[in-house]
Amino acid sequence: MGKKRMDKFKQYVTAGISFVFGVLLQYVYALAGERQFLLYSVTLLLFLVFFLCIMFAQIQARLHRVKYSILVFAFDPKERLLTVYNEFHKRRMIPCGVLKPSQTPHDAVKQFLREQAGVNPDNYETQIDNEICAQEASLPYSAQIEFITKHERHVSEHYAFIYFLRLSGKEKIGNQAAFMTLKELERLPEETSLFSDLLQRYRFYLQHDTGRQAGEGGTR
Amino acid sequence: MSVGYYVMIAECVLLLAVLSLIGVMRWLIRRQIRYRIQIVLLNTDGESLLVYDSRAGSLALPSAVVPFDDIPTNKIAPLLETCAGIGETAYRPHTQFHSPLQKYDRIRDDIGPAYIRERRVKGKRFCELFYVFCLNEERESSNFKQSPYPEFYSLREMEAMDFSTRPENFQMDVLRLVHETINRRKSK
Repeated sequence: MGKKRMDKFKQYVTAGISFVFGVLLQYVYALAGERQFLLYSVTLLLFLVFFLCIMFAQIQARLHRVKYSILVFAFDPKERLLTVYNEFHKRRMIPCGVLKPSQTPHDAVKQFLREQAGVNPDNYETQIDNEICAQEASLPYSAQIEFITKHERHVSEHYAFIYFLRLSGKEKIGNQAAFMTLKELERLPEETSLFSDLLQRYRFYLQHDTGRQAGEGGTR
Repeated sequence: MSVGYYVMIAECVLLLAVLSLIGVMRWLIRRQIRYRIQIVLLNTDGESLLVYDSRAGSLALPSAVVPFDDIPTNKIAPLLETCAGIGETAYRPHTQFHSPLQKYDRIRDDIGPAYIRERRVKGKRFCELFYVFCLNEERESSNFKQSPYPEFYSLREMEAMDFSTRPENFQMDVLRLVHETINRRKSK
């Protein structure tokens, strides 16, 4: 547990204990004598509620401190990028999403490709498996980017696995999905096109990995 | 019945709720994927660094479990510093396994795992992230810890070792893959 979180946790505990003792004292003064049974019961009840709160805070803090997410750069043989319309961002995006705590990155890639782009995982010519990717697909096939900024109250850091995959190009894709060239993406208005950092990664991929110039990469 | 009895019943219900919550929490935490980094550090001869794993009683790749509140790349430098005394300036990401998109000025910047594998140990699910680094030539003889371990071993030496001494099979598989990939790309 980090030092800051430990301090916060100690604060919770101290506040809780002082609260319970305060209530307890009040009851001792107010309800002495024949109403002892009620006094003990209510005090115990308060203790239980207090521990429930502490446990809930602990669960929340333990489970979602670092948010892991996935970005999938999937290319067809002509180096066109698979893009989908993202309802949340209101623009074209590559298949992406947040990893559930119980989900492995490979599983998440398959899920996002299936759900967002309609690509059936059974039809991949290049399997989403790093060993095969390393041999069949081009470098870089797996990378990551970190966002240090705090996205939500309990998220300390955001960490994304970036996959670079090559599809056979024969797969059926969903209505919302399309293979797009770099030029096509650049021609789109900025607010509806890919985020600039993702576009830059695509450009960089074409230049450094396929050896093509950015302008000619991904042409039909 | 007096009010006290109702309160007592409520307490019992709450106690049950607490116990089931503990159960759910334990189940959730157990289900949650733990990330563990594993480092393949190669020297210029293509030999990889192995350290002594006291739990397994054998040689192993340097590895560390990533805490829930931290990210994998933050653990690389402290791990190599602790287990082998290798400073952050002595090595760099291997260009055949890590993207040229990534900046090399600081290890934690955008270094992606070369291999990702899922593994189950005693019911807990681990996501093993393998990073491949190579030593900088000029730092080859940097001051490593003066002990029989850590040392660099070639794949052939590892294969020749006894099963109880050499790294576990899943690490050997990855090491073989790393060497195969390097050799294939060299031959191209």
